[in-house]
Parts: sequence; C-alpha cells; structure tokens
Amino acid sequence: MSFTGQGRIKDVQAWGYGLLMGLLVMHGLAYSGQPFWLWFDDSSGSGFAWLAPWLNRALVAVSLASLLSTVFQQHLLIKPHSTHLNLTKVHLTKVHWGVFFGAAVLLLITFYAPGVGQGVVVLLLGFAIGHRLLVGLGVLLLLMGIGRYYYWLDAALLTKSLTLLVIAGLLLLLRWGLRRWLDAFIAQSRDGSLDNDV
Amino acid sequence: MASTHRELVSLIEQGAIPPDQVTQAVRVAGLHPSPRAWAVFIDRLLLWMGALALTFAVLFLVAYNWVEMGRWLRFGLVQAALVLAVCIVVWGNTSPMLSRVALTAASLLVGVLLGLFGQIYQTGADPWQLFFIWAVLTLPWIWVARFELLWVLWLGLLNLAIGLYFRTWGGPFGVLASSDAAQWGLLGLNSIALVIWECGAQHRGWPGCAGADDAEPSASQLFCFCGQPSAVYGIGSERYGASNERVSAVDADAALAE
Repeated sequence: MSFTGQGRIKDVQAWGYGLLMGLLVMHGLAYSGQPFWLWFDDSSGSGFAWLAPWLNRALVAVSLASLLSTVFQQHLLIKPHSTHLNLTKVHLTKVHWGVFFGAAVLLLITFYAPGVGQGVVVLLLGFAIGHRLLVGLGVLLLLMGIGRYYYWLDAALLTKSLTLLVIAGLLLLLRWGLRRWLDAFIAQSRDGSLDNDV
Repeated sequence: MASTHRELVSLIEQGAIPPDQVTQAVRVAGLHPSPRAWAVFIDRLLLWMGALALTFAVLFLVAYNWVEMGRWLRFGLVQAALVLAVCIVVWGNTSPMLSRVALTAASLLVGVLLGLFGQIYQTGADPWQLFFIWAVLTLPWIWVARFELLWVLWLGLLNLAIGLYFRTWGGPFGVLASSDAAQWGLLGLNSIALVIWECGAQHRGWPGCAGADDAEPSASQLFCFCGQPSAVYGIGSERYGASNERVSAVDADAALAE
C-alpha cells in the first residue's frame, strides 16, 4: 500500500505520519480541554458543529471499507501462491461479506465512541502493511477512544457501563461466530487454538 | 516485520528493485499477512476488545457510584467478575492467549476493587497507596502470566505509585523538592527494572537482545514510554531516554519471540 512508486514512498510515509500525529494531537487536546484553532463548540448550533460528528463516523467507515477492499484485492492477487488456504471464489465472496458485516456491526456498536473505530482502522492498517509502529499507535488510539468515552458528558456512567456491556457481548459473539465459521477454512492447530500461528 | 518493511523501502528508494517489480518484491518478502494470519489477528483483536470492554463496563459502573445499589451488591459484582476471570485461567481452555487476556482483566479488576473499597469506606487512602497495593496484589498473577505487556503495565503502576508518593510527601530526603524527588524515584525504579531485565536476558534466557537494534516501537514500547514521565520532563532525560528505548526494544523482541 505504501509502495506506490519509486521516489514517492517517503512522501507517502510523511503524509501518513503527519495525519496520524494530527489525529493523536486532536485526541490529546480534547482530553486536556484546551481550545483548538479549528475547534468549535458542540452547542454552538452551527452547521459544521452538527455535521462534524457524522463526518467523523462517515470518514472512519469509508477508510475501513477502503482498507478492507485493498486487503481483499491483495489476497486475490496472491491466491495462486497461497499454501495456507484453499479458498474458492465462492468462499472468498462469503468471506468478503462476512468481514464487511462484522466491520459494520463494530462501527454501529461503537457509534458513541468514534475513537474506537479510528483506533481499529489504524491497527488494521498497521497489521496489513506489517508496520509495528502503526499497530502500537492504533492500540493507543483505541485506549484514548475509551478514555474519551469515559469523559463524554452526554450520558451517565451507568448508561455507558451498560452500553459497554452490550458492546462486549456483541464483540465476543462476533468472535464466537468467526471461530465457528472459520473452522471450515482454517486447519486448527493441534491444541485447537489459533495461538501458535502468528 | 517492521524491519522487513524498512529494508524493502530502502531497497526501493535506492533503485535496487525496478518499479515494475515492486509488487512482486512485496509479495516475495511476505510482508502482507496471509489470510490465516488475518483470521488469527481478528480473532485475538475481538477477544481483547471484548474482554477489555467487559472490564471497563465494571469500572464505569463502580465509577458511577450508584447509591441505590447496595455496597455488598457492588462488592459482589466486582468480585464475581474477578473470580470469573481467574476461573477462566484456572479451569478454562488451555489457550495461552485466553489465559493472558483473563489475567489482564483480573489484574485490572483488582484495581477496580481497591477503588471501590476506597469509595465505599472513604478510607482516605492516598492514591499512591492504591496503586502500590494494586501492584503488590497483582504481582503473583503477573509473574505466572509470563506476558510482557502485563509487566509493562505493572511497572507503570509502580511508576504512578512512586510519582504520587513523592508528590504528596516531598520525599524521604526532605530537602529535595518534591518534583525532583519524584523524578529521581522514577529514574531509580526504571533503572533497576532495566538492570533486572538485562541480567535476566543475559543469564536466565529471558527474551532479549537478538535484534535489539531494531528500534521500531511497538505497543509495549508506547505503554513503557507513557509510564515514565521523567523521560519527558526531567533529570538526565537524554541518558534516561536511551535506557527507555533499550527496555522497549527488549519488550518488542519479547513480543516478536512469541
């Protein structure tokens, strides 16, 4: 993904790091309660203030969808050389839809904690391109997302706690479904776990 | 994997790989994870996020300080969650990852339980005591978990305890200004941690130095960095920052050695 052509790699990396640092700084500023030069008050009622949260979620959804599409394209490319899986085209299409469905569920259940979605996108991007720094920053963003959710004032902590309980249940249900479903595709390791494979 | 990424970027930048063969080079380098690696990663991600969401749900509930909910019920809830996590480790599936996730949740829940105790009984305990007792109580679990992320979190707890202790009391050396004392304390603690880890790596076969020149940070490194504010603020920051990077490189190797 970052290997877009000779001579441009550093530029692409610089842009990527810059944008990510910007995102982290914005999260940090939101924590510290400092004013930000582009900041606006949620209660100001201006058009942008109304639009911004939706824009945030839409951009996260678009970036996640585009990341997943790129990864799928790569796997179609490497399919002839893959020895791990013997996926037929029909199965791969099912996998496509399953993963998109899982991503949509994740975005929906974390609707009020958009930092989680951002963290997941960065984490997945880091894993997709084999970049540990990005994976680490993705984890950091995820934790900051949960932290911001804690300090989000529009809901009581009790509501947030119950919401997190539902989110946890759905995430573990997704995992359970994934494991049941992927049994058909993935040969299990000897002890029945997937832990020895990465 | 980051070093492969960097080497590939370097080769492409130097023109060693013709532009029309970059895609093939990336494929041959095995940089992009296989479908199976993706499945394992997503599986772990969902497990971690689900378990942490459950733990945070308990934390948020305690933080809500729900007066209508009796104190015994609150204690019971947190303790039930704690016992559940420990039961998963003891009697659950033998997957090492599941045990680590459960022990991480259990270690966090000990802190929630201590916070609840302070909230209900208004013990007046200073925060440093909470973090210190938390670190002491979770040490056996962290010892048996053999999981470097938990060690980094534990070190972070001790850092917090020491920082808060010196900030509250001005330090045992009296004449030292409290903030300087805190930074010396943190420097001492983390230096001891580094020495112990290096000794372990040299003599006891702990995850160690092979590839320690790979300075690309990982999640563990970020935690490590966050837990050591004197690297940013204080005394001997240059020397200290170097030590910090070294510890973190070892952590990263430990993660890779998994």
